[in-house]
Amino acid sequence: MRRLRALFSKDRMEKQLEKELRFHIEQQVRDNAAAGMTEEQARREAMLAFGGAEQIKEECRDERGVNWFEDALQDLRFGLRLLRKDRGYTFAALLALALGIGANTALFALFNGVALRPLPVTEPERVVSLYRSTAQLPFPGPFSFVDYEYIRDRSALFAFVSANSAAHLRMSGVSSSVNSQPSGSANILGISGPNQIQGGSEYVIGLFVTSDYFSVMGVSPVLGHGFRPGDDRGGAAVYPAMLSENFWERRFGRDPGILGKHVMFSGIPVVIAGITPRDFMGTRPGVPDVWIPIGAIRNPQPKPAERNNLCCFVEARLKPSARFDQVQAALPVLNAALHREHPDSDQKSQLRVEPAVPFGSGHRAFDILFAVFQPAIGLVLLIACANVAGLLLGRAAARQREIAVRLALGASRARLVRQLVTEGILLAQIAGVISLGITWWMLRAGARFVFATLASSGLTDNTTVPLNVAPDFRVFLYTVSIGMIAGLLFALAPALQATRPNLTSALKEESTPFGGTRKSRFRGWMVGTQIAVCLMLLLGAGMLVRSSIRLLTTDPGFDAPHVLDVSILNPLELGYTAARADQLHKEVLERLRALPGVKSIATASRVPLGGNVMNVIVYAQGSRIASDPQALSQAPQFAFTFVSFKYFETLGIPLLRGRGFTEQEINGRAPVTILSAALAQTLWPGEDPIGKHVTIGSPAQASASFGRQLPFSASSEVIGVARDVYSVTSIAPDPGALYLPQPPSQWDQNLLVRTEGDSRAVASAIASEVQSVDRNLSVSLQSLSKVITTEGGFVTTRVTGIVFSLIGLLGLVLASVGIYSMVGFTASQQTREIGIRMALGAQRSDVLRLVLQRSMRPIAAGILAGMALGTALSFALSSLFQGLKLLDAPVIAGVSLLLTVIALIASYLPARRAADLDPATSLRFE
Amino acid sequence: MNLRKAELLQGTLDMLILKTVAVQPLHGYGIAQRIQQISRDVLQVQQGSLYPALHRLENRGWLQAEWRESDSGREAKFYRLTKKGRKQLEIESSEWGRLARAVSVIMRTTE
Repeated sequence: MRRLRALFSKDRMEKQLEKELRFHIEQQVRDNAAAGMTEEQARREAMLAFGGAEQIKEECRDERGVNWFEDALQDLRFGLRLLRKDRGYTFAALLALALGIGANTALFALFNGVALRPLPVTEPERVVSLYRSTAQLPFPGPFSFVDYEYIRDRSALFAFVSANSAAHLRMSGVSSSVNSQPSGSANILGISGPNQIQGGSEYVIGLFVTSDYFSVMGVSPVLGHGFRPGDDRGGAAVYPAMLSENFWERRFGRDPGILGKHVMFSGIPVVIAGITPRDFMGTRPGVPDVWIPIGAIRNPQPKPAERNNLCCFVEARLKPSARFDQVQAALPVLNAALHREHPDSDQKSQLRVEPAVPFGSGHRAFDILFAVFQPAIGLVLLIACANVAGLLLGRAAARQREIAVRLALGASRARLVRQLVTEGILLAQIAGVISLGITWWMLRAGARFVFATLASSGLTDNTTVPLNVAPDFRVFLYTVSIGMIAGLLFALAPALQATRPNLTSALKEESTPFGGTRKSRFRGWMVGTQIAVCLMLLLGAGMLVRSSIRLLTTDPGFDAPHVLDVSILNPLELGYTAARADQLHKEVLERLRALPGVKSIATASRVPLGGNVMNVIVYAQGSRIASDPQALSQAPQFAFTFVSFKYFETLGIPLLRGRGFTEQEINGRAPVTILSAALAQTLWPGEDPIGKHVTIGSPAQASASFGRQLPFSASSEVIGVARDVYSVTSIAPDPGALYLPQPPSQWDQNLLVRTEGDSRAVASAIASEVQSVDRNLSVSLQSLSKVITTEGGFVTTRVTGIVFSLIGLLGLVLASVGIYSMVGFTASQQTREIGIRMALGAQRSDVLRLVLQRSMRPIAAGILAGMALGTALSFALSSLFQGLKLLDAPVIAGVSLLLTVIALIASYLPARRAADLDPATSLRFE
Repeated sequence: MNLRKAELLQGTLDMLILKTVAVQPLHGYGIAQRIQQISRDVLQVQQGSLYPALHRLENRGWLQAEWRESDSGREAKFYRLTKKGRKQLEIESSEWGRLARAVSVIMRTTE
């Protein structure tokens, strides 16, 4: 504080100091005169006695600590002059640092956009997300609708509380289709997938919301009107709906005439009431196409059993008088009251409140990516720092004279180190400013790349994922801090090195021409570090890429290339009668069965690796579990699939034991089941399960899952065992699965078609055959191979692998340049030694060998360290990516070899230049 | 004795200054004069040591400075001992007492 004041009142300070000293002299003059001296003599004596006023002033300033800042300014000016003078060095260092810092800033800008930025709504600090955890589901979990109502009606702290639930919907009843290029603001990294319209079937992403949702968010429609209280009541003949501006533009070409039009969304009749602002997505990880009152799915009214139906995420807007910590304090009380008043609720559940952020709970899905990328990108910066440290050391050698002179003249070492570090930080901050530009470029290029990958795998649906990456104060602050840290990191060691109090040898010039000095050892460390870190990154990338290739080539247990998933619009959604729908279904199946190229047809409640996985508890009939409600509620659950006749034949899943379902068993829904090998092994280890009985589900659980009925069967006979398949994730086979019979008469089932040869060739024939039955039946088809490539686990591994490769490549480029410049510098330091050796008869090859040998040692050490680090990394990664192979020998060997070769080339080039020197020149070279 | 060798006797000068202003607020010239007088011209404080010391002590909060009129009618910077400074003076004078006793004991025994 005192320092700051001293600094700002500097002028006054200087005047006072001047005045104080002048007073002293005047006083002396007066006393001298009183002692009998003449005026002139008195003054002269006083001045003599006083000595150098300027020196005293300087010492006073030092004591006050004003100089600290002055020195820094002076260092900065000096640093800038040096940077301007030594352009080559400046350019190389700035480039390396800007890339390193830029990569870090880019990742942070992404993280900022996903998890830190407030929502783009009015008073975002008042919007909070509520989450719930249960015995089965950790935070951040959703609420049941009745629990939402409980909280809404009892908290005095919230102005509004809303619930929302997302769903994929099929839009129908719209004739015209417009495809226009979406426009957007420059700060938004958006992905906007192609409109996938096949046979008139359009999938959209809907968000069912309570009518106060937009009050919570504080968002008004850009056109038309929002929801009114009561709009979310169930049982309405027609519901108002709002379209997002993104969807309105993409699908309807901004036609204002859409307001008031009637549209069907998966059987829900709506009339378009308004348009929500562009890119507004609430706390969803993507912009919904349509917003519909939640009553539309809650029809009929909820039953008490639905307390376990966790359907909805909850957001609330605080009253202006309420504070966040008050809500935090109030939630446990509210939760306890809920448990007390509703003994049937999950007594282990807990509540939590968080500030609402874009991507809401979804940002946790990104957390894993940041957890992987942040250290990797940090390491790239480390490479850049090692790189610049090497450069600085080279330059410090050139400045050795200057430094030695200043030390000899009495500058303190601390002062010189401070100057060198200030120069380093200055360099890093300039690089930081440049990096903001690079960041921009990297983000756009990277986003285009990743999103193109996603789009080509069909994962994007039709949605827009707006990610605001505009630099804000957080990004700026981050860049500045990173620059400070980097500056310290790369400047401190060379500064300490260069100012080592060793005056004589430095003044004597160049130390000795032979031998490994401490400095060359330091350079060796820098090379070794760069190689080790770079190798580790490349190994990580290699293993991830290999594992995504392995995922692609793994046999999923079913014959994906020859199976099509055919999705047909449910005629009930078109208002057809149930009888007519049944009739159509039969007809479609018959026609398809007769189609050339079609081998067999089956239906199933879900497609392997696609659709919602449904789990149910399964245990051997008569097991103790049945009588113990506690054990029952925690019994292991397994994925189940309702299948029709010929399911196993159609998908190419072999039955290992027993038999498949007969047509009678299917049509009569007989109490029989087929288990996967893993499940059979779990229930009856080492025994033959055929003929044994299982209990599936429990009566209490029968309605526990949103929108779908869970099966319940007290006793089902096991008639067959099927081979294990990868149906839940592409990373590992299912830990257990069971198949239940269901007749193929239901429209909401998936229709699976096994084809001869390539399934894609038959796809269009199937689509036109279905439409020839009824023109209104829109169809979309997908090969199961494509389903595999869009599966979440696979996409995560693949995208991570790609990004990791890019980071590794960046590290490789930096490290190669670093090795090149350092070996080159070391060789140039050795010019005299080389000259002497050549004059004494050393051949060109000897010199080459000598230089290479010296650079080889740190490279080899770096490679070894990198292998060890890479192995450690593979353990860390394998905990995140289950498909990853530990100690992937081909990758380790291949990547290490590649890096060694690159490092050798990087050191060979400067070595050859050294060897090509004319001995006479190199002896003269100074 | 010359107090120019500040490294060696810096602490001593600080103590002397603190002691001098403990009686009444003084300006720099006055402090130098007072030390010289009391020590009967044995101690002569050089300005090159005095003023940096004054600024150091002020910076540490042991002295507080204020501008007011001196006997001669000119404005001068007067230094006054603060509470912190008084504590420091106590510490230093007891330290000094111990040191002086120790030195004199050694001088007597080795004679």
